[in-house]
Amino acid sequence: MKNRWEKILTTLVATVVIGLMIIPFFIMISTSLKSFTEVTVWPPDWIPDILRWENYREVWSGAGNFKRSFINSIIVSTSTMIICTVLGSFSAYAVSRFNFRGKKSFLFIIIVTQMFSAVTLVGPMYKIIKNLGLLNTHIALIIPNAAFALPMTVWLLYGYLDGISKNLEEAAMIDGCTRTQAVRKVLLPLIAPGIITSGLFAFIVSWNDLIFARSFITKTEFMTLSVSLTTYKSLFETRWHEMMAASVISVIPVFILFLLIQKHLVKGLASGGVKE
Amino acid sequence: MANLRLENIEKVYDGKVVAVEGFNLDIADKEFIILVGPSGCGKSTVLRMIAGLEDITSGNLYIDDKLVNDVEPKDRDIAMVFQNYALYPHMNVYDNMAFGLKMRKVDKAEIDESVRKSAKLLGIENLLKRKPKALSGGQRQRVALGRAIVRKPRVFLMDEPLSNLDAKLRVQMRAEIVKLHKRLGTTFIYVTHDQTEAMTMGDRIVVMKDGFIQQVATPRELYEKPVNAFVGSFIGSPQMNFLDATVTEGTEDYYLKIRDASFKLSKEVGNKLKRSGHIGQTLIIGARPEDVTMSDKSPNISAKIEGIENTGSERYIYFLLDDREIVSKAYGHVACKIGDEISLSLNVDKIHFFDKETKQNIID
Repeated sequence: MKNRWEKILTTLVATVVIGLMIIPFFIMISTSLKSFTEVTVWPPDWIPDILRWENYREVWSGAGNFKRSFINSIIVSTSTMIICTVLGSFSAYAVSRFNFRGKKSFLFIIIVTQMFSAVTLVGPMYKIIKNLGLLNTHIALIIPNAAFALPMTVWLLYGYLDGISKNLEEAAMIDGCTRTQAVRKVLLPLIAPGIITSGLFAFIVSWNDLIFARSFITKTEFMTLSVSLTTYKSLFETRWHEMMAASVISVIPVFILFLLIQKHLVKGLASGGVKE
Repeated sequence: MANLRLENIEKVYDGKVVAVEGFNLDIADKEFIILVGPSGCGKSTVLRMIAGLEDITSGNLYIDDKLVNDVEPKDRDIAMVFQNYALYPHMNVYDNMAFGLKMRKVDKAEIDESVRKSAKLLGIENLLKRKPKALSGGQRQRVALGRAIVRKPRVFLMDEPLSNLDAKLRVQMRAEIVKLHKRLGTTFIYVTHDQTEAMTMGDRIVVMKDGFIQQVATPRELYEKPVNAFVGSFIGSPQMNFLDATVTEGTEDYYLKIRDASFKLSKEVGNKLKRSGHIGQTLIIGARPEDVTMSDKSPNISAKIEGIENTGSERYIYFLLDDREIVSKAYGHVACKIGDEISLSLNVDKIHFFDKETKQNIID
């Protein structure tokens, strides 16, 4: 009997939590299909009578330079992702496989860097980027975003790598591999889920960044999506319907990414080869 | 097929932790040699240095008279079986076994033949398509062995390959590995902490402790002539009994005195002890459980039974003597129970004499 009540309770809690998470999405999609006047109607129409898809067309090819922002975001986020996975893999490998002086401090320090919020650092960073003459460039966003996402990717990958027995690489080396070959043929397939997870993480960090984009970019042609979304709000009016349409578009890449790689995110690929 | 020579091998970690010191050993072609010792004695380190997975701090390692200190593991032509099997989880059994040959660019048809032959030898032909995840411990063990033999290496290295198996399977695999060695005619170097494995499998055994070789000998020699008390206690199960004793010289004979009992010693043993200056000194004697018998014949030592262990064919009877646990091995049925006061006799011809300070064997 107790079991049944437990089940009901968990289902109930899960439903409420999922509902809370989904409602904003629903509102976003529903608003994006309304006209400006429909948005202000009370009580709100959950599903508008006429679905105004033209909002999307308006946002995508309208005056707001949205398309350009979208491309900028793709460039910045993809670059951040690549930098983080490459550098993250290398450093995680070093920390997990080799003993060197300062190994523990290294791991500690990179986690400490996560304790500073971007807001506290944006001032000095602005100064640095300005002095380097990098304001209004993609690099101005790629470097700070990578710096912010990298500690987490290192830790994530370090955790993955540390869970894989060193013996596997050693076996490969005895079987005729060089160290690089052993990593490529044995280790890489096993940590692929880790690399994908950390890459996705870096991508999202960069995709969602507003603070750096707001501070280091002033020209519309270098604006990223997150900044672009704020432009629908002006002194006199907020064009909710367009802002929501833009938001929906901005969610799509991340949504697709998740869809493509979710099966890789399942853990357990590395199990079975060695006896724990 | 290869002979190995380890000359003054030393391994120091981080410039301060000495793992192996002054390791000298010649391993003959086709020999089955066992490195045994308690954990942390450096046996695995030696094996890993032979494999090339650890650098040799100083000393020389020769395989077939060629210095290989700086040769990469892949170029040493060795195979290794790890304690945790180290099977590649993302490859099936066939690919696991074929991996080494593929890396060496062996012809595909030849790889297929070798893999199937080895799989047949180990009885795992029906598992070739499975992933390691879908195998039992014993099957994984066989795949690990298969991956090693498929390459026909010059030397086989095994690092506690059986310690993750259950007791029954371990005994079975023990016999199979010995058979495999006979069949392949390759040099085997096998690391274990289990003295039973060492005694039953090896042609020669290297007993190690704290990074040093204690003794290198055949199983029988180790059992009968341990060079020191450590080897005496490490080899044999239950372990050797140790007692304090003194040897006195009578008018004609020498006597071994333990408590109030005095056993007559042979002239030869007595003379040796005299030459080494141990007459009248306290020394440690080591007696195997089978050399401690319950007997009313005098001389004897009286003791109280603390415990009885029945293994079926034999019984181990435990006593406490001067705060030391003494075990006696008895065959068949013995009429006694815990708490009984009984008399113990010693088979003095089989006793080992160790120096109280150095713990070295005085006689052999």
